Amino acid sequence: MIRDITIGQYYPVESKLHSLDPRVKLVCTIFYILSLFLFNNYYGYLVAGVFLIFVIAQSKVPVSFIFRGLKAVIMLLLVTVVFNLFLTPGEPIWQFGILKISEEGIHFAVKMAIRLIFLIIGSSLMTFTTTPNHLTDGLERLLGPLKKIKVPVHEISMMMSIALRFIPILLEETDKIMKAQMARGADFENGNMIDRAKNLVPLLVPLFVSAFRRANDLAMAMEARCYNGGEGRTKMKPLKYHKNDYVAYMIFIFYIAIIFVIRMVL
Amino acid sequence: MNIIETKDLVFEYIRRDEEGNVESISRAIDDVSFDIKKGDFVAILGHNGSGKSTLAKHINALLMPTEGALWVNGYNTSNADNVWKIRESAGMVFQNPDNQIIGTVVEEDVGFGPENIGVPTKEIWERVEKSLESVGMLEYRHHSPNKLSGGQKQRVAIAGIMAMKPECIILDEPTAMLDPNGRRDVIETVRELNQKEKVTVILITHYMEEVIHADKVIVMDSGKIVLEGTPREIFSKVEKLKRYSLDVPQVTELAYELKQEGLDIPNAILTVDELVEALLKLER
Amino acid sequence: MSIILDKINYSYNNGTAYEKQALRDINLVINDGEFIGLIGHTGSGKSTLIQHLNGLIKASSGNIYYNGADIYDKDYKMKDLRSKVGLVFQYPEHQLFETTVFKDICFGPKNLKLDPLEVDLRAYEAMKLVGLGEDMLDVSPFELSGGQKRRVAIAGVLAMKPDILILDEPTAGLDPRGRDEILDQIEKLHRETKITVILVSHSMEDVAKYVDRIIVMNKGEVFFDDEKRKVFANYKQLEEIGLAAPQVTYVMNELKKHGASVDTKAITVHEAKEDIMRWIKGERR
Repeated sequence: MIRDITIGQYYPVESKLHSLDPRVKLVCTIFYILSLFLFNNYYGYLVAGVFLIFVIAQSKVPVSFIFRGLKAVIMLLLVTVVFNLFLTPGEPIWQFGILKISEEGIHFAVKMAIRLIFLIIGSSLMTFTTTPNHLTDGLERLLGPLKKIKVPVHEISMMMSIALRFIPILLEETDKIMKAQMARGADFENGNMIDRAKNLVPLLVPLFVSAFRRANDLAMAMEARCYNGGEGRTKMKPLKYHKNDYVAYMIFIFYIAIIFVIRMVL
Repeated sequence: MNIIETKDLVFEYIRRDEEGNVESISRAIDDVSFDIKKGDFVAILGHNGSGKSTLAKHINALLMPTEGALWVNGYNTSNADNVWKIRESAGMVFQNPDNQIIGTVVEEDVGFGPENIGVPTKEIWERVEKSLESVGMLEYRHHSPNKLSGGQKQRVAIAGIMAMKPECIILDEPTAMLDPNGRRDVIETVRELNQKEKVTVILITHYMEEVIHADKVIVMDSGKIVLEGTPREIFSKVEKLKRYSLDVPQVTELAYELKQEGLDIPNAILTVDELVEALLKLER
Repeated sequence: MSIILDKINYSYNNGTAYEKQALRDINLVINDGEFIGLIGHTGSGKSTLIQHLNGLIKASSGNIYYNGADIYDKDYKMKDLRSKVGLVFQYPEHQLFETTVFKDICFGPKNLKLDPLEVDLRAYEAMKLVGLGEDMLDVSPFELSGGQKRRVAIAGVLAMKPDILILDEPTAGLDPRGRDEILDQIEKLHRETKITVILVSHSMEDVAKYVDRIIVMNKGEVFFDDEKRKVFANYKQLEEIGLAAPQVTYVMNELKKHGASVDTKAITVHEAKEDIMRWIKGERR
């Protein structure tokens, strides 16, 4: 089950989309999502869909991999569709007891479903094509102006990248401690809710102790390597816009322009 | 020329209760003085709790002496203004390979130190490449550290220090958590760096086999230096080493036992070949 | 009373490109009261193998019989097996979680749903078995030294009164004194209670000193399974799979190669000394 969730994963292939500056991908993803809520007719969806297909083709991420990600949120999709279908007010064209379906309801449900699918595919395309490190780098640069109002931007992004580094280690550790306690007769699978919560103590305490120990070690190791906050640091991989990044921005602006035209004209 | 000099070094751990009153004081380092020459390979031995790790942290200015003083490359570690210069010239590798790697990609981790001291981008790349090559890990530059073995992770950590171009590198039990193959790789790497790059090495360990090639061995016990000399001088004192809860390689112990039985073989045999040769000589 | 492994295979990540066979056709018999050393370099399948013995990992194919009962039978109670086959993981001190040493040791027997008096008795006994004094009862396990923490963790497994004790590198990260103390304690335990012990170790010197039988793993298969001297006699083959014999074995073999009339079977310092002295005296006579 957990393995089916592909959202947020990185898909390592080389493509034009992969090599784009993370800032381009971050900015475009945000505005793409916003654009989905700008229009309210099917032409808009057509354009947004064509644009999405174009981006998928550029990303070289297999379509099957992308759809596997959708599978994990299918329940969410269904619930949204059902709610919109039955709860949108309008002239009923079908009725069963208190359940009514109107034409407006059908349209609304379909549009909502398409929006959600586009939104999920659009944002997961960003994570498929950007390494976590790049993403935090991009975020740090984009949020840079916030430093002026004393937001610790560098620290936040450093925290994010350290978290990304330690998640797999802590997962492995959880597995190890769980097995060690099971060897002492612990039971993590049976019992009612309260029992189960209680049974987690022998897992969580060692896990926290270990996390603190690691944090302490890591802080010392960082200090020993002259880490002294963001001041005066240089970058091994500084973010720099290249020709392709400008091209990507131009294409995206073109897309937004079409969306605006559709909204105003049709 | 000495890269490290210490004079009457004392370090006390002070435990306080909730009101801040002193509960107990324990001396982790007790009046220690020694010098380390530039380019030397020095090993510090001692059992757990002998004060050797506390001493190591002083050399990197992670701890400050309670009394006495320590100079790294001429900088007094007690002076807070010197901290960054000291850490640049004396890098430190720790015991747990997982807890000292910061980057999610090998090359980015090696670049972390140079980034911190403000090395220009182009030079960072050169340094990363060179130091990864010097520890034999260049082909893994794009890998995730999580996929490496313990010994490989330690070599990445060593590369991370080398990329800061230190004059001296301190390794605090770098092999304690590794298997025999990982241990051998790490020790070989360190020896090579010492010989080829002329970097001063301070190796802290309790594995005696690892110190055979050192220029100088310092043995610590309850915060004091109890023995100091070449590996051969140290290894000839089998009884004393055992008293300090250390053990000698099996051949050295066998040679010592045979000598006790009255056989005429040289002091402090370090390798299998030496012992075999000595015994065959007896026969003739 | 024994464990029998019959054609055990284990692979993971099945059906993906990362499929890996971790164990291949393992056949083993572990008898009552044995002291076994399990060696092999990292990734050879040692850890996977020992987790099969108490049912934490289920084989892809093959059978395991504990005292004649098939542990994969659907009526078999895995929890009973886990109390009978005690497994001490690497760095076991990382699993400690209670506020006092005594409470932590009680965790295992408590899970067996024994009556409270029996739980306490077993915990006391286990503390004694690993050489922890009564002054330790109410101490927080987090305040102990590395070696002491490890004893508490081992006591936590012993308190379940297992018939078999498996230890995965119990001396990793300890200094020579801590190492000797733990191993001597385990040896004493084996001698006094006749408990079956399986010791996973990287140190050939330790294995040579303590165990009787050695199982060597390589690439998921049993490479050797024999009396320790017979295994170390094959030191050249051991080297080929990244292992070695104790240093003294090399000394004896070198001497023999140069014509000395010594026995190459010696694997400890004491044995080697006796044998060399016998040879030297013989020469002089």
